[in-house]
Amino acid sequence: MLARWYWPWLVMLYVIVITLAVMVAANRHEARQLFVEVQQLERDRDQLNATWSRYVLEQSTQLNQLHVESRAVESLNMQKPVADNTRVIRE
Amino acid sequence: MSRRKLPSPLFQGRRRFLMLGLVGLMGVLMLRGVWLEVFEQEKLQQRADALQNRVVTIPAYRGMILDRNGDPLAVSSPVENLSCNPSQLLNARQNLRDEYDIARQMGEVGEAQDKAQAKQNSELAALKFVKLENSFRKIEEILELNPGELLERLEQARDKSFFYLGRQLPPEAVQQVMELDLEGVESSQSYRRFYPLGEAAGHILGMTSIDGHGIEGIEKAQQSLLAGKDGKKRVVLDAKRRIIENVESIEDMIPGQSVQLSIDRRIQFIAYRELKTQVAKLNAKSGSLVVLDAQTGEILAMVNSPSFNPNNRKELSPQQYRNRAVTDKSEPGSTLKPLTLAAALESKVINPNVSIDTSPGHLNLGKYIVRDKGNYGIISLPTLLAKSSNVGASRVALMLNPRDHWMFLSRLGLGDYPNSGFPGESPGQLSNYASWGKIDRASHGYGYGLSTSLLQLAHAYAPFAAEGKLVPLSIYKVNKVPPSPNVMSAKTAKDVVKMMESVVTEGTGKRAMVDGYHVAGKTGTAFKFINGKYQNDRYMTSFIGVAPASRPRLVVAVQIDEPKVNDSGGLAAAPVFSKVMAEALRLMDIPPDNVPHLKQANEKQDQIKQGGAT
Repeated sequence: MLARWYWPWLVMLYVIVITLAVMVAANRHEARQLFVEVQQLERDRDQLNATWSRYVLEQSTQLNQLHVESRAVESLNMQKPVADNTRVIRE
Repeated sequence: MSRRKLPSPLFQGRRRFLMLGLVGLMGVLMLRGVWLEVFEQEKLQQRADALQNRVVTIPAYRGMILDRNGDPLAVSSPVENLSCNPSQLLNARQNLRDEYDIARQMGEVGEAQDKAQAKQNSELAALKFVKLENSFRKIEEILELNPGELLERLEQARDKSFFYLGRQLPPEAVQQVMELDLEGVESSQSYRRFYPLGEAAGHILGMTSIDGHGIEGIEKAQQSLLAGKDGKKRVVLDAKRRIIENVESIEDMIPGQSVQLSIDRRIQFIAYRELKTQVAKLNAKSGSLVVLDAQTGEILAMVNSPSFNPNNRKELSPQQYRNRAVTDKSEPGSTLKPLTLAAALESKVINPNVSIDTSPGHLNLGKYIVRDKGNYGIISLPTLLAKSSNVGASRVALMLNPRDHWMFLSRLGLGDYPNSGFPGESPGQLSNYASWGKIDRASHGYGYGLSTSLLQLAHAYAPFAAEGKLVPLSIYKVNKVPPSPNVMSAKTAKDVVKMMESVVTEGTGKRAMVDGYHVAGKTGTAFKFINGKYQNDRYMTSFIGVAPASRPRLVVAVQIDEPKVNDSGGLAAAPVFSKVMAEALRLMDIPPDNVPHLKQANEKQDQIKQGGAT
């Protein structure tokens, strides 16, 4: 019984061992590649974060009251209504 | 004729010896292997781990500070710290430099074919050297160092094992250096805080240390919420100390949360601009301003001048980052008179229509004499406020039971911490009524002998604008107004506001008028008590008011400390009040109550109603 299955068993085990060995190597390789990708993505994320916070800062600088007021007055010819020009509508 | 059958006659002994020797050697090696693997394994593994594995902290993103409309007041932006091992870097630089020199010489001589490869290598190194030098220049530029200073510092730190080339550098600049792939150079991530409002909101927001801990203002008060929690992960490094693998995450990074304040950045900015202008114009020592929403207790703006710019830590003195509106207490002076009248109305010792006799313009209280600027005669309560009569206020105060007076003032929060959420609050000073003599009772009536911070005083005015309710102060946005005690009746609040209106329409505070709105307020000039006596030339001038007077909502309190140009409250502080109040009312969408067409509109409405009835 044992003698009869000895060789097939051995061959099969060999095949399994080698397959697994190759898979380990392949997985390892894939993990490395994915890691590189993760790092790249993290770098991208940080870059985007940096850009985003710069935009937020720029936006709030642009929204500076002084800036908005002077632009409204100079380029759009707007003015603050005085009391005489104000109507109050009550519902 | 097999070989086996014919044992070699020659060197049998030598063979055995050699065999034995080899087997013995192998045995020794294997034993050594077993020894290392079995007995020393743990120790060696640890050593390898120490060399290859490293626990890296992942800095948490610090939460934003937002204003009431969600606009950012403080934002963190990622930056990088660049560090190195000085001797390694200096050696690497020297090598590159040598190569660079060689490359230059080669370039000058002109080269034979067989050395082409060497030439290429040298040129590569030369290019790297140039890049490295450029990066150094760039870092020096960012850190505002002189050219060459960085190298000098590096040279000085040669025998140390760690040196920061620069902290909080822009990621691009660091990336350039890292791409050169030099030995001993490492980068780590961190965040830098930016404050778009700059010095206009410096006192409220405070700032963070270079390590990212809040050390002043809201940054300090909300440190735990804003900071989040740094993460940790284990990584594998290669020989050049670069990360090649993430092994495991030890702690997850929890990003900080945003904090929303009650501040409106637009009002804050305008308030700072106006206050700063006025303080500079009057050559004053300092100034403070608070804008409150009396209905919700929210602080809409709070500014001090001089201020500091939290974006630029270099030029800071402790004197600059004191939030005076909260930390400094002073005698309020005349701005306390409306509170005296309210106290008297509440305890029913007077009614709103009484007249007070202030002649002959001074009041003898033993050694102490209370004086007015002139003899105002018999005056009504609105006139008392409009003329700011000390004698009148003293008379009213003396009518009050000291206990009632004290109870009223402490109900308004005088002598107690305002609990606004700022570090370093001053409780002011209000002594117990048991110790009040006649002089104390009179002087408390017009604002001397007790002290408050400007924030406290502004808060004490809030019930006038909230039907007598004292809503707790908050620097954070309020979504649901907390239950608030009634500190005076709605009628008293309304009556006092009406009286304060005359200060603006006919009295000392004419410059506080706001176009389109009825305004009620009180001017104040408080002489300073220095070296046991009140100084005639050193005083605080203030204006506190509410608007719109018909349906009050906002409180604005302005205080200017030691103006050099001779001015009383009405001239120095009232114009600032007027400008800030006008903008605050507009920005908070509060309908005007003093426009010419309003009356007509109301009348028309009435007519329509009548028409419907007939």
